Amino acid sequence: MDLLHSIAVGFATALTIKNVIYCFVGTFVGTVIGVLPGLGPVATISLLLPFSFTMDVTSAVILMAGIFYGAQYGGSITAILVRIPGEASSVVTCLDGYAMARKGRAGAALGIAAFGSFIAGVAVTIALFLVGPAMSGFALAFGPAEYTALVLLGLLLVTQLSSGSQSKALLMVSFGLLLSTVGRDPIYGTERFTFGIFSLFDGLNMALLAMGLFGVSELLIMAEGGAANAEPIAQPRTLRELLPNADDWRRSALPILRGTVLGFFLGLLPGGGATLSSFSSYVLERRVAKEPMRFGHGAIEGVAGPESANNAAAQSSFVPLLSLGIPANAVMAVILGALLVQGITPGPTLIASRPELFFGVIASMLVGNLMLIVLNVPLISIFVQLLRVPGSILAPLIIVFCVVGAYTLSNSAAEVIIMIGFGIAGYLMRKIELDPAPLVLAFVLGNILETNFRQSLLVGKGTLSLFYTRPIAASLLACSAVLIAMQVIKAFSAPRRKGG
Amino acid sequence: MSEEGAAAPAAPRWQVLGFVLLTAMGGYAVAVSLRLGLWRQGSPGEGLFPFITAVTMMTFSLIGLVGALRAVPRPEATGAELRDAPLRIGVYVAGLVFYAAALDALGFIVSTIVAVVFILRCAERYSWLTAFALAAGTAAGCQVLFVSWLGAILPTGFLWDALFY
Repeated sequence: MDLLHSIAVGFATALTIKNVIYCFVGTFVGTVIGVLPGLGPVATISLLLPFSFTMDVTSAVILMAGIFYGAQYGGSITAILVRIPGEASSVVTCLDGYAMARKGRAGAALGIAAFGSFIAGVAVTIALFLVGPAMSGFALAFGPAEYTALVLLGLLLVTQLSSGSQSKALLMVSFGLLLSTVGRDPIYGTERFTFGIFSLFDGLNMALLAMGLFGVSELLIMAEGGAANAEPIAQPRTLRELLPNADDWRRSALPILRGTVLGFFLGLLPGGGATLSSFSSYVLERRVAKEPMRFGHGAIEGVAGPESANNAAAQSSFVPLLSLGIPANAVMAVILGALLVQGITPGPTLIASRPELFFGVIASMLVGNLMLIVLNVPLISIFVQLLRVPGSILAPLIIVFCVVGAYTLSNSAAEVIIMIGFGIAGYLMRKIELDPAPLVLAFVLGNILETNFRQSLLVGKGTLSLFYTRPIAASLLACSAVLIAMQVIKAFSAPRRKGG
Repeated sequence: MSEEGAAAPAAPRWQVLGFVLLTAMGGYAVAVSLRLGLWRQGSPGEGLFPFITAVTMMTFSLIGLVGALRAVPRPEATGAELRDAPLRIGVYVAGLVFYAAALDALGFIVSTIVAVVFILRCAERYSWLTAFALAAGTAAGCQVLFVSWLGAILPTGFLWDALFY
C-alpha cells in the first residue's frame, strides 16, 4: 500500500461524522480528566471498556486515543496554574509553568503548551504515516540490557536538573527508586516494605506520590505564610499578554522540535511513553540552554519541550501496540484488551489486514489535535481567571481536589492518608532543600529499571555480560560513564578554580 | 530544578535531623533487603535491587549530613507571621488527617464541610459564616462535578447509614 493510498484510507475513516464525534468526545473528556488529579486516562478508558465492546472497533480506538492525548494537555493546565500535575507526564511542567504563572505569564505558558502539543501532534501524525510501520522494528531492538542502560543514563541525566547540590539530587533519585520497590516483587511476588498494609500490596500509586509531593506540600508552603496573606499572583492585563509573544516563540521553536523528535522515539519504546519523554525533554533543554539557571524560574523552554514531547510520545506509543501487539504503557494495555475482546489481535499483519484501523486511528490524531487547539486556546483566558481566586479560597479547593483525586483511585480512604503522608514528607523535604522532582522520576522508572536489570542478570546467567556484549547497551553505558567522569572532573576542578 | 515560591529553608539543626532520618530509613531498608535475600538459586533475589538503592541512599544521606553539620548557622526568622507558621501548618495537617479519617464514616459532604471550616476558621481566621459558606460551596460544587457529572463514587458515610436506615 503506497503512502497516498494509506493517507486516503486513513482520512476516509477518520472524517466520517461518527468518528469525528467520537474524536471530539475523546479529546474533550481527556482534557477534563487530565485537569482533575487522580482521575487519569487509564481509569477513564477502563470505565469505557464495557461500552467499547458494542462499538465499531475503529471508533472505539479513536475515542480512547482522544482521551489519552487529550489528557496530556489537560494535565498541564493545573500543573501551570496551581502546581498540581493532573498527569504524571505533567510533573515537569509544574517547575517552569507554575513559575511563569507566578510572574503573570500563565497565558503564555498555557498557550505554548497548547501550540507545542499541537505542532508535535501534527508532526508525529505525518511521521507515523511515513515511517510508522517501519519504525515498529525499533522497539524490538531494545531488550532488558538496553532498557537498564537507557534508564540508568536517564537517571544520571536527571541529577543534572538540580540547580543545587548533585548529591542531594542523587539522594532523591535513590529514595525514589527505593519507594518503587514497595509492594510485590515483580518476579517472585514476595511482599516488600508493605508492613502488612493491604493498600501497599500493589505498590505506591504514582498519582498519590505526585499529588502529595507537589499539591499538598505546596498547600502547606502556602499555609506557612497564611493562605489569606499569600502574595497575589501577577495577572495578564492585555490579550497580547495572554498568548506567547514573538520572543516566546523564538525561544520555544527548537525545544518544540527537539521534544517532538525525542517524544516520537521514546513513545515507541515499551515503558517509555509520555512521562519519560517529558522528563527527558526537560533535561535535554536544560543541557543545551545558554542560561540553564533560568530553568525552574519560568523558562518557557521548560514548558514547550516537555509538553511537545509528552504529546508526541502519547501518539507514537500506538505504533508498537497496533503493529507489534506490544502495549507501551498501561493505557495501551487497556486498549489492547478492548481490541482482543473484539477479536482483533494486533501484530505485524494488522496494517495489511485492517488498514482502516491502523491509518484511521493515525488520521484521527490529526483531527483530534486540531480539536484540542480549537477547544483550548479560546479557554486560556478563562483558565487564567483561576489565578484571581484568593489563596484562602484556592486552599480548600486544592485540598478537596487532591482528596477526591486520591479517593477515586481505589475508593479507599487509605489512599488519602498515603497522599497526605507524602504531602507532609514533601513539605519537610523542601524545608531541608531537597527537590522532590528527581524522586518522582526515579519512582516512575524504578520498576522498569529493576525488572530489566534482573532479567539482564538472568539472561546473562548471573553475570553482567549482556551489558558489554550488546552494542546499544554498551554505548548507553559508555555515555553514562562519560557523564560521571565529567561530573567528577568538574567537582575536582571547582575547588582549585576557587583557590585560584 | 530549583523551585519558584520555595519554602524558607529550615535551620541547620532541622537539616541535620532530616538527613539523620533519611540515613536511618536507608539503614532499615538495607536490613530488610538482606533479610529478603540478595541472590536466590543462581539468580538475583528480591532484596538485590532494594539493597543497591538503599546503600546509595544511605551514602548520599551521610554526605548531606556532613554538609548540614558543616553549614554556617543562619539567623532564624523572627517575624510574627513565621512565629505563627507552625500553628497554621499544624491546623492544616490536623484538618487533612481528620478529613481522611472521617471520609468513610461521615461521608464526603459532611467531612469536607467540617475539615474546610476548621482550616479556614482556625488557620486563616475567617468568620464562622464566611468559612461555612466557602466550605459548603466547595462541597456542593465538587459533589455536582465529580458525582453528578463524572460519575465518581464518593463515600456517603456509613455512620449516617447506620443511624438512619
